[in-house]
Amino acid sequence: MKLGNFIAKLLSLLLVIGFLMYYQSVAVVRAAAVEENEAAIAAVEAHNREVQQEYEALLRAADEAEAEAQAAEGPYVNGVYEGEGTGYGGAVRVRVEIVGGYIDHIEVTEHSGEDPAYYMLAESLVDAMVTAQSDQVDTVSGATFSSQGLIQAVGHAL
Amino acid sequence: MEQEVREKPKLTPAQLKKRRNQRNAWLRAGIQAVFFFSMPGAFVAGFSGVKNIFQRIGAGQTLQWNSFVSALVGLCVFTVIFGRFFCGYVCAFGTLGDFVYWLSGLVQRKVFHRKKQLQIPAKLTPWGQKVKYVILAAIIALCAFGLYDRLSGWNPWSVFSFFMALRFRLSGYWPGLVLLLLIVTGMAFRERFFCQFLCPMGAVFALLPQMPFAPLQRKPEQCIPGCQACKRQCPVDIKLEPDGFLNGECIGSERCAGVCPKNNLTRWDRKLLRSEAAAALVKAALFFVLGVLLGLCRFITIR
Repeated sequence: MKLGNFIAKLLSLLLVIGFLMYYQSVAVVRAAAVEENEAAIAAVEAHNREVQQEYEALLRAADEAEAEAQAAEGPYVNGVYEGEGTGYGGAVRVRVEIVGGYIDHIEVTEHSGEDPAYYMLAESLVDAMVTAQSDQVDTVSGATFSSQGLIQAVGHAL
Repeated sequence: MEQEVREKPKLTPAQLKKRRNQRNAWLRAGIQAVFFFSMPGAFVAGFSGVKNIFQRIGAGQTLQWNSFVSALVGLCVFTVIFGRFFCGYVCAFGTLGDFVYWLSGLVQRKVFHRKKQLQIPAKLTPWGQKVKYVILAAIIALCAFGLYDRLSGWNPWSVFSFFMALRFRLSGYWPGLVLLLLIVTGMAFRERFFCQFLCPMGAVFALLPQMPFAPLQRKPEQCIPGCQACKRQCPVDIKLEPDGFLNGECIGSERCAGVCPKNNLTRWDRKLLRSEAAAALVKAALFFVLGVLLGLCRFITIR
């Protein structure tokens, strides 16, 4: 029975892979449904906001100019800002571009101290911070230090 | 090598064997040193793949192909084909274990004049080797229930990675430091203490269906009756049963092959290349390329 051990482990491995594939198929369907729901909610909310804005526009018709100025500007001051944070193996530097008062673009200019496998995961935070329009995002589990470096650098730039 | 044999005919076969073993030991240490400094995060990245999968399952998210998961799959495929070469020659924690154990032996011999290195009793080995499966299960459960990230200060590997990056400010990581010190203490009194007893990635490797040709092969009928030289050398106490080498616990130290008086332990790669050193070097080069592609090397970035 030299191969018994091997076959038993092979079957266990196939079982695990099968479970992960089954989970993934369910999770993908679920994620699609969640996305659909969120899109529907967002559509309704957008509609509500539109109605609200029309209502407020009517209310503040008198000082229209001021209202427009407020709607056009985001929370940040336009410009290009450099920031620096401490990652796992040294400095992490970013360039944050603010357009129309919003974070338009974050470019990582320095990450040479980070191990590639870890940095690649932490890099997803760039998009997350643009979406959140803030540096208040959670670190990536397992790549905590690279994440902290990026977040710190963006926070510094802002 | 054969040429040297002719030049120095005075050496007995036993002396030649000893010399060869010493060379192989130095070669192994050299390969380990290269990987220790170039890919110290390989084991943690691979295991983070396991954590990532179960954290996403726990949170009900879709699984994601990212650099941790690819590191996990890369390590596992390499291990299925070549056995636990990664454990024996590459993993930084294994190298740390070998170094601490060697240093402890040196100190015990030179300072305390002990003839035999103080050891954790071999009786406890089979029980101890089960502990890593409990640790693996516990970490998977913590990940699936979303509790793992709250315990980040307890992570001894984080503290180890701090040291590897020459960072010594450990605020919040004191429990992890204590655990790391306990592990290093264990390493001093048992060869590969962490690898065989505690390593959750070692548990994953031991559960993998390694190819039947992956471990060293022994032909029991050619053995000297009663000789247990290989068993006595084995750092993880593998039994001499015919399929004992297939039980997954072998960490690929390959010391058994060196000590065997009849050279009765071999493997396809050693036969193919007609040299133990070449087999180790070729596999090390292969893993280095794989590691660079997986983003495990500190000094080389590939996009």
